[in-house]
Amino acid sequence: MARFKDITLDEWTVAQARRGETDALGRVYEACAPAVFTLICRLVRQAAVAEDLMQETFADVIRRIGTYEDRAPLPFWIRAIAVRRSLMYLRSPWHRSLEWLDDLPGPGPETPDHSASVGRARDLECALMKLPAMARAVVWLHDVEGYTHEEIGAGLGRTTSYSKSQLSRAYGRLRRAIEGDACARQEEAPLCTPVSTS
Amino acid sequence: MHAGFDELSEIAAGRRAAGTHVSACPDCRARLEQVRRVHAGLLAMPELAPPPVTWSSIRARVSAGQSAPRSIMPVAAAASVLVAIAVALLMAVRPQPGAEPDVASARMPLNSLVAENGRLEALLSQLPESRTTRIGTAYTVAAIEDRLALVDDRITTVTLEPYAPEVAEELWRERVTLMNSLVQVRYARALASR
Repeated sequence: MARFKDITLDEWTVAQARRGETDALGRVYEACAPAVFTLICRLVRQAAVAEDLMQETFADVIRRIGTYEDRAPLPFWIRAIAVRRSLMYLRSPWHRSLEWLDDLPGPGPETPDHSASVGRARDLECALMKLPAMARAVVWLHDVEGYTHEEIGAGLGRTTSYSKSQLSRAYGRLRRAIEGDACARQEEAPLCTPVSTS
Repeated sequence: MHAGFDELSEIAAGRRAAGTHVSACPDCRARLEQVRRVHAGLLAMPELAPPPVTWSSIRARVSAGQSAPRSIMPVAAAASVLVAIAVALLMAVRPQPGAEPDVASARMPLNSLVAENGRLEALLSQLPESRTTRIGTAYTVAAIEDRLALVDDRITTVTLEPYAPEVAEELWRERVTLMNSLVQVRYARALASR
Protein backbone atom coordinates (compact mmCIF):
# COMPACT_ATOMS: atom_id res chain seq x y z
CA MET A 1 0.00 0.00 0.00
CA ALA A 2 1.29 3.45 -0.88
CA ARG A 3 2.08 5.57 2.13
CA PHE A 4 2.72 9.24 2.56
CA LYS A 5 6.37 8.56 3.31
CA ASP A 6 6.69 6.73 -0.01
CA ILE A 7 5.41 9.67 -2.06
CA THR A 8 8.24 11.41 -3.82
CA LEU A 9 7.94 14.94 -5.12
CA ASP A 10 10.95 16.62 -6.67
CA GLU A 11 12.14 19.94 -5.27
CA TRP A 12 11.19 21.80 -8.43
CA THR A 13 7.57 20.61 -8.21
CA VAL A 14 7.35 21.54 -4.53
CA ALA A 15 8.87 24.97 -5.16
CA GLN A 16 6.43 25.62 -8.02
CA ALA A 17 3.51 24.35 -5.97
CA ARG A 18 4.43 26.72 -3.14
CA ARG A 19 4.14 29.56 -5.59
CA GLY A 20 0.65 28.31 -6.43
CA GLU A 21 1.48 27.19 -9.95
CA THR A 22 -1.39 25.15 -11.28
CA ASP A 23 0.51 22.43 -13.11
CA ALA A 24 2.72 21.71 -10.11
CA LEU A 25 -0.28 21.57 -7.78
CA GLY A 26 -1.88 19.16 -10.22
CA ARG A 27 1.17 16.89 -10.03
CA VAL A 28 1.02 17.05 -6.25
CA TYR A 29 -2.63 16.07 -6.42
CA GLU A 30 -1.95 13.11 -8.71
CA ALA A 31 0.81 11.88 -6.43
CA CYS A 32 -1.06 12.30 -3.16
CA ALA A 33 -4.72 11.61 -4.02
CA PRO A 34 -4.62 7.81 -3.53
CA ALA A 35 -2.98 8.05 -0.11
CA VAL A 36 -5.26 10.90 0.97
CA PHE A 37 -8.39 9.09 -0.15
CA THR A 38 -7.32 5.85 1.52
CA LEU A 39 -6.61 7.66 4.79
CA ILE A 40 -9.94 9.50 4.77
CA CYS A 41 -11.87 6.37 3.80
CA ARG A 42 -10.36 4.42 6.68
CA LEU A 43 -11.41 7.16 9.09
CA VAL A 44 -14.92 7.98 7.92
CA ARG A 45 -15.90 4.76 6.09
CA GLN A 46 -18.60 6.13 3.76
CA ALA A 47 -17.14 6.63 0.29
CA ALA A 48 -19.37 9.60 -0.53
CA VAL A 49 -18.29 11.45 2.61
CA ALA A 50 -14.67 10.52 1.95
CA GLU A 51 -14.93 11.98 -1.53
CA ASP A 52 -16.29 15.23 -0.13
CA LEU A 53 -13.56 15.40 2.49
CA MET A 54 -10.87 14.67 -0.09
CA GLN A 55 -12.07 17.54 -2.25
CA GLU A 56 -12.18 19.77 0.83
CA THR A 57 -8.65 18.73 1.67
CA PHE A 58 -7.24 19.65 -1.72
CA ALA A 59 -9.29 22.83 -1.81
CA ASP A 60 -7.53 23.71 1.45
CA VAL A 61 -4.20 22.85 -0.16
CA ILE A 62 -4.90 25.33 -2.96
CA ARG A 63 -5.95 28.04 -0.53
CA ARG A 64 -3.16 27.54 1.98
CA ILE A 65 -0.17 26.39 -0.03
CA GLY A 66 1.39 29.81 0.51
CA THR A 67 1.62 29.08 4.23
CA TYR A 68 3.44 25.77 3.75
CA GLU A 69 6.90 25.80 5.31
CA ASP A 70 9.13 22.88 4.55
CA ARG A 71 9.43 21.75 8.16
CA ALA A 72 7.85 18.48 7.01
CA PRO A 73 7.62 17.02 3.50
CA LEU A 74 4.68 18.37 1.50
CA PRO A 75 2.74 15.03 1.52
CA PHE A 76 2.77 15.08 5.33
CA TRP A 77 1.52 18.65 5.37
CA ILE A 78 -1.34 17.54 3.12
CA ARG A 79 -1.93 14.52 5.36
CA ALA A 80 -2.28 16.82 8.37
CA ILE A 81 -5.00 18.76 6.54
CA ALA A 82 -6.81 15.52 5.62
CA VAL A 83 -6.64 14.24 9.20
CA ARG A 84 -7.88 17.53 10.60
CA ARG A 85 -10.77 17.60 8.14
CA SER A 86 -11.71 13.98 8.90
CA LEU A 87 -11.56 14.39 12.67
CA MET A 88 -13.62 17.56 12.48
CA TYR A 89 -16.21 15.53 10.63
CA LEU A 90 -16.11 12.67 13.14
CA ARG A 91 -16.48 15.11 16.01
CA SER A 92 -19.38 16.94 14.44
CA PRO A 93 -22.89 16.46 15.81
CA TRP A 94 -23.88 15.90 12.19
CA HIS A 95 -21.78 12.76 11.97
CA ARG A 96 -22.86 11.55 15.40
CA SER A 97 -26.49 11.86 14.47
CA LEU A 98 -25.85 9.64 11.44
CA GLU A 99 -23.66 7.05 13.10
CA TRP A 100 -26.39 4.46 12.78
CA LEU A 101 -25.64 4.48 9.05
CA ASP A 102 -22.35 2.78 9.86
CA ASP A 103 -24.32 -0.29 10.86
CA LEU A 104 -26.01 -0.68 7.51
CA PRO A 105 -24.62 -3.53 5.43
CA GLY A 106 -22.48 -2.54 2.48
CA PRO A 107 -21.90 -4.62 -0.64
CA GLY A 108 -20.23 -7.98 -0.17
CA PRO A 109 -16.86 -8.98 -1.58
CA GLU A 110 -16.82 -8.84 -5.35
CA THR A 111 -14.74 -11.96 -5.91
CA PRO A 112 -14.89 -14.42 -3.04
CA ASP A 113 -11.49 -15.86 -2.25
CA HIS A 114 -11.46 -18.76 0.15
CA SER A 115 -7.73 -19.01 0.72
CA ALA A 116 -6.81 -18.67 4.39
CA SER A 117 -4.51 -15.67 4.12
CA VAL A 118 -6.87 -13.65 1.93
CA GLY A 119 -9.74 -14.63 4.22
CA ARG A 120 -7.88 -13.38 7.29
CA ALA A 121 -6.94 -10.12 5.59
CA ARG A 122 -10.56 -9.59 4.60
CA ASP A 123 -11.71 -10.46 8.12
CA LEU A 124 -9.37 -7.86 9.54
CA GLU A 125 -10.51 -5.21 7.09
CA CYS A 126 -14.16 -5.97 7.83
CA ALA A 127 -13.53 -5.89 11.57
CA LEU A 128 -11.74 -2.55 11.24
CA MET A 129 -14.60 -1.03 9.30
CA LYS A 130 -17.10 -2.34 11.86
CA LEU A 131 -15.35 -0.61 14.75
CA PRO A 132 -17.00 2.52 16.16
CA ALA A 133 -15.79 5.60 14.30
CA MET A 134 -13.58 6.93 17.09
CA ALA A 135 -11.95 3.54 17.73
CA ARG A 136 -11.30 3.08 14.01
CA ALA A 137 -9.69 6.52 13.82
CA VAL A 138 -7.46 5.76 16.79
CA VAL A 139 -6.34 2.42 15.33
CA TRP A 140 -5.57 3.82 11.89
CA LEU A 141 -3.85 6.99 13.04
CA HIS A 142 -1.75 5.17 15.63
CA ASP A 143 -0.82 1.99 13.81
CA VAL A 144 -0.69 3.03 10.17
CA GLU A 145 -0.06 6.76 10.18
CA GLY A 146 2.24 6.74 13.21
CA TYR A 147 0.50 9.37 15.31
CA THR A 148 1.09 9.33 19.08
CA HIS A 149 -1.70 8.88 21.61
CA GLU A 150 -1.15 12.48 22.71
CA GLU A 151 -1.67 13.74 19.16
CA ILE A 152 -4.71 11.54 18.59
CA GLY A 153 -6.30 12.51 21.90
CA ALA A 154 -5.81 16.19 21.07
CA GLY A 155 -7.18 15.72 17.56
CA LEU A 156 -10.29 13.98 18.83
CA GLY A 157 -10.82 16.49 21.61
CA ARG A 158 -10.24 13.71 24.12
CA THR A 159 -7.50 12.64 26.48
CA THR A 160 -4.41 10.55 25.91
CA SER A 161 -5.85 7.80 28.07
CA TYR A 162 -8.99 7.77 25.93
CA SER A 163 -6.88 7.09 22.85
CA LYS A 164 -4.98 4.33 24.64
CA SER A 165 -8.10 2.62 25.92
CA GLN A 166 -9.78 2.81 22.52
CA LEU A 167 -6.75 1.17 20.90
CA SER A 168 -6.60 -1.59 23.49
CA ARG A 169 -10.28 -2.35 23.15
CA ALA A 170 -10.22 -2.24 19.36
CA TYR A 171 -7.24 -4.59 19.24
CA GLY A 172 -9.24 -7.18 21.13
CA ARG A 173 -11.85 -7.16 18.40
CA LEU A 174 -9.35 -7.09 15.55
CA ARG A 175 -7.38 -9.95 17.05
CA ARG A 176 -10.53 -12.05 17.36
CA ALA A 177 -11.34 -11.25 13.73
CA ILE A 178 -8.09 -12.64 12.33
CA GLU A 179 -8.18 -15.61 14.66
CA GLY A 180 -11.89 -16.25 14.16
CA ASP A 181 -13.36 -19.28 12.48
CA ALA A 182 -14.98 -19.43 9.06
CA CYS A 183 -18.46 -18.87 10.50
CA ALA A 184 -17.42 -15.57 12.05
CA ARG A 185 -15.79 -14.72 8.74
CA GLN A 186 -18.99 -15.38 6.86
CA GLU A 187 -21.00 -13.20 9.22
CA GLU A 188 -18.70 -10.22 8.90
CA ALA A 189 -18.12 -10.30 5.15
CA PRO A 190 -21.30 -8.41 4.12
CA LEU A 191 -20.19 -5.37 6.10
CA CYS A 192 -17.02 -4.74 4.13
CA THR A 193 -16.10 -1.22 3.22
CA PRO A 194 -18.24 0.00 0.32
CA VAL A 195 -15.36 1.60 -1.53
CA SER A 196 -13.54 -0.30 -4.23
CA THR A 197 -9.98 -1.46 -3.90
CA SER A 198 -7.28 -0.91 -6.47
CA MET B 1 5.71 -8.42 36.03
CA HIS B 2 4.30 -8.64 32.52
CA ALA B 3 4.18 -5.99 29.83
CA GLY B 4 0.91 -4.13 29.36
CA PHE B 5 -0.88 -3.70 26.04
CA ASP B 6 0.38 -0.14 25.70
CA GLU B 7 3.99 -1.27 25.82
CA LEU B 8 3.37 -4.20 23.47
CA SER B 9 1.66 -2.00 20.90
CA GLU B 10 4.56 0.47 20.99
CA ILE B 11 7.02 -2.39 20.47
CA ALA B 12 4.95 -3.80 17.61
CA ALA B 13 4.87 -0.36 15.99
CA GLY B 14 8.65 -0.14 16.25
CA ARG B 15 8.57 2.84 18.57
CA ARG B 16 10.13 1.04 21.47
CA ALA B 17 12.59 -1.82 21.77
CA ALA B 18 11.48 -4.98 23.54
CA GLY B 19 12.96 -5.04 27.02
CA THR B 20 14.70 -8.01 28.56
CA HIS B 21 11.51 -9.18 30.26
CA VAL B 22 9.42 -9.20 27.07
CA SER B 23 12.21 -10.95 25.20
CA ALA B 24 12.52 -13.66 27.82
CA CYS B 25 8.92 -14.14 28.96
CA PRO B 26 6.93 -16.69 26.88
CA ASP B 27 3.61 -15.12 27.87
CA CYS B 28 4.66 -11.61 26.87
CA ARG B 29 6.24 -12.88 23.66
CA ALA B 30 3.02 -14.68 22.75
CA ARG B 31 0.92 -11.57 23.38
CA LEU B 32 3.42 -9.45 21.47
CA GLU B 33 3.11 -11.83 18.53
CA GLN B 34 -0.68 -11.39 18.57
CA VAL B 35 -0.31 -7.61 18.57
CA ARG B 36 2.26 -7.79 15.79
CA ARG B 37 -0.05 -9.88 13.61
CA VAL B 38 -2.82 -7.31 13.87
CA HIS B 39 -0.38 -4.44 13.31
CA ALA B 40 1.12 -6.13 10.25
CA GLY B 41 -2.36 -6.87 8.91
CA LEU B 42 -3.31 -3.20 9.19
CA LEU B 43 -0.15 -2.09 7.41
CA ALA B 44 -0.81 -4.57 4.62
CA MET B 45 -4.31 -3.33 3.88
CA PRO B 46 -4.78 -2.30 0.26
CA GLU B 47 -4.89 1.20 -1.02
CA LEU B 48 -8.34 2.38 -2.07
CA ALA B 49 -8.94 3.76 -5.52
CA PRO B 50 -9.68 7.49 -5.37
CA PRO B 51 -12.89 8.73 -6.97
CA PRO B 52 -12.80 10.07 -10.52
CA VAL B 53 -12.41 13.66 -9.38
CA THR B 54 -10.15 15.74 -11.54
CA TRP B 55 -7.76 18.33 -10.23
CA SER B 56 -9.19 20.93 -12.58
CA SER B 57 -12.67 20.45 -11.11
CA ILE B 58 -11.39 21.07 -7.57
CA ARG B 59 -9.46 24.11 -8.77
CA ALA B 60 -12.51 25.44 -10.58
CA ARG B 61 -14.61 25.10 -7.45
CA VAL B 62 -12.05 26.96 -5.37
CA SER B 63 -11.92 29.69 -8.00
CA ALA B 64 -15.69 29.91 -7.85
CA GLY B 65 -15.46 30.37 -4.10
CA GLN B 66 -17.21 27.14 -3.13
CA SER B 67 -15.82 25.61 0.01
CA ALA B 68 -17.66 22.31 -0.12
CA PRO B 69 -18.20 20.86 -3.54
CA ARG B 70 -21.14 18.53 -3.19
CA SER B 71 -21.92 19.08 0.02
CA ILE B 72 -23.27 17.93 3.21
CA MET B 73 -20.88 20.28 4.98
CA PRO B 74 -23.12 23.37 5.16
CA VAL B 75 -25.87 21.17 6.57
CA ALA B 76 -23.40 19.69 9.01
CA ALA B 77 -22.34 23.14 10.11
CA ALA B 78 -25.96 24.18 10.58
CA ALA B 79 -26.67 21.04 12.58
CA SER B 80 -23.63 21.72 14.76
CA VAL B 81 -24.84 25.23 15.49
CA LEU B 82 -28.34 24.01 16.36
CA VAL B 83 -27.03 21.40 18.75
CA ALA B 84 -24.67 23.91 20.35
CA ILE B 85 -27.55 26.35 20.86
CA ALA B 86 -29.73 23.61 22.33
CA VAL B 87 -27.02 22.58 24.78
CA ALA B 88 -26.36 26.21 25.73
CA LEU B 89 -30.06 26.80 26.39
CA LEU B 90 -30.26 23.67 28.46
CA MET B 91 -27.28 24.72 30.56
CA ALA B 92 -28.80 28.17 31.01
CA VAL B 93 -32.08 26.87 32.41
CA ARG B 94 -30.56 24.16 34.59
CA PRO B 95 -31.06 24.71 38.34
CA GLN B 96 -27.94 26.15 39.93
CA PRO B 97 -26.03 23.92 42.34
CA GLY B 98 -27.27 24.63 45.82
CA ALA B 99 -30.78 25.56 44.76
CA GLU B 100 -31.94 22.28 46.21
CA PRO B 101 -29.69 21.77 49.25
CA ASP B 102 -30.91 18.29 50.12
CA VAL B 103 -30.23 16.96 46.62
CA ALA B 104 -27.04 18.95 46.07
CA SER B 105 -25.49 17.59 49.25
CA ALA B 106 -26.21 14.04 48.17
CA ARG B 107 -25.32 14.38 44.48
CA MET B 108 -22.47 16.26 42.90
CA PRO B 109 -23.76 18.49 40.06
CA LEU B 110 -22.76 17.89 36.47
CA ASN B 111 -20.23 20.70 36.23
CA SER B 112 -18.50 19.50 39.41
CA LEU B 113 -18.41 15.97 38.05
CA VAL B 114 -16.83 17.18 34.83
CA ALA B 115 -14.31 19.25 36.79
CA GLU B 116 -13.50 16.28 39.01
CA ASN B 117 -12.94 14.14 35.91
CA GLY B 118 -10.52 16.75 34.63
CA ARG B 119 -8.67 16.76 37.94
CA LEU B 120 -8.37 12.96 37.91
CA GLU B 121 -7.19 12.97 34.29
CA ALA B 122 -4.49 15.46 35.22
CA LEU B 123 -3.51 13.35 38.22
CA LEU B 124 -3.35 10.22 36.08
CA SER B 125 -1.16 11.92 33.51
CA GLN B 126 1.36 12.76 36.26
CA LEU B 127 1.70 9.16 37.39
CA PRO B 128 4.74 7.47 35.87
CA GLU B 129 4.11 4.81 33.24
CA SER B 130 5.31 1.50 34.58
CA ARG B 131 7.18 -0.52 31.96
CA THR B 132 6.05 -3.81 33.45
CA THR B 133 3.14 -4.92 35.53
CA ARG B 134 1.58 -8.01 37.01
CA ILE B 135 -0.78 -9.68 34.61
CA GLY B 136 -3.64 -9.44 37.12
CA THR B 137 -3.09 -5.71 37.43
CA ALA B 138 -2.89 -5.38 33.68
CA TYR B 139 -6.26 -7.08 33.33
CA THR B 140 -7.74 -4.80 36.00
CA VAL B 141 -6.43 -1.70 34.24
CA ALA B 142 -7.67 -3.02 30.89
CA ALA B 143 -11.11 -3.73 32.35
CA ILE B 144 -11.36 -0.22 33.81
CA GLU B 145 -10.15 1.36 30.58
CA ASP B 146 -12.64 -0.69 28.59
CA ARG B 147 -15.42 0.52 30.80
CA LEU B 148 -14.15 4.10 30.51
CA ALA B 149 -14.20 3.83 26.72
CA LEU B 150 -17.77 2.56 26.88
CA VAL B 151 -18.84 5.35 29.21
CA ASP B 152 -17.09 7.90 26.98
CA ASP B 153 -19.03 6.62 23.99
CA ARG B 154 -22.29 6.89 25.89
CA ILE B 155 -21.44 10.38 27.13
CA THR B 156 -20.82 11.38 23.52
CA THR B 157 -24.21 10.02 22.55
CA VAL B 158 -26.00 11.61 25.48
CA THR B 159 -24.51 14.98 24.54
CA LEU B 160 -26.93 14.87 21.66
CA GLU B 161 -29.85 14.31 24.02
CA PRO B 162 -30.03 17.62 25.84
CA TYR B 163 -33.34 16.76 27.45
CA ALA B 164 -31.86 13.98 29.54
CA PRO B 165 -29.36 15.74 31.84
CA GLU B 166 -29.83 13.23 34.63
CA VAL B 167 -28.51 10.48 32.37
CA ALA B 168 -25.46 12.60 31.59
CA GLU B 169 -24.89 13.11 35.30
CA GLU B 170 -25.09 9.40 35.97
CA LEU B 171 -22.55 8.71 33.26
CA TRP B 172 -20.18 11.41 34.47
CA ARG B 173 -20.57 10.09 38.01
CA GLU B 174 -19.68 6.61 36.80
CA ARG B 175 -16.70 8.08 34.99
CA VAL B 176 -15.50 9.74 38.20
CA THR B 177 -15.76 6.39 40.00
CA LEU B 178 -13.85 4.61 37.23
CA MET B 179 -11.20 7.31 37.09
CA ASN B 180 -10.76 7.09 40.86
CA SER B 181 -10.24 3.34 40.55
CA LEU B 182 -7.81 3.77 37.69
CA VAL B 183 -5.78 6.36 39.57
CA GLN B 184 -5.62 4.09 42.61
CA VAL B 185 -4.51 1.06 40.60
CA ARG B 186 -1.95 3.06 38.63
CA TYR B 187 -0.67 4.67 41.83
CA ALA B 188 -0.27 1.28 43.48
CA ARG B 189 1.47 -0.05 40.38
CA ALA B 190 3.84 2.92 40.36
CA LEU B 191 4.71 2.31 44.01
CA ALA B 192 5.24 -1.41 43.42
CA SER B 193 7.60 -0.81 40.53
CA ARG B 194 9.88 1.44 42.52
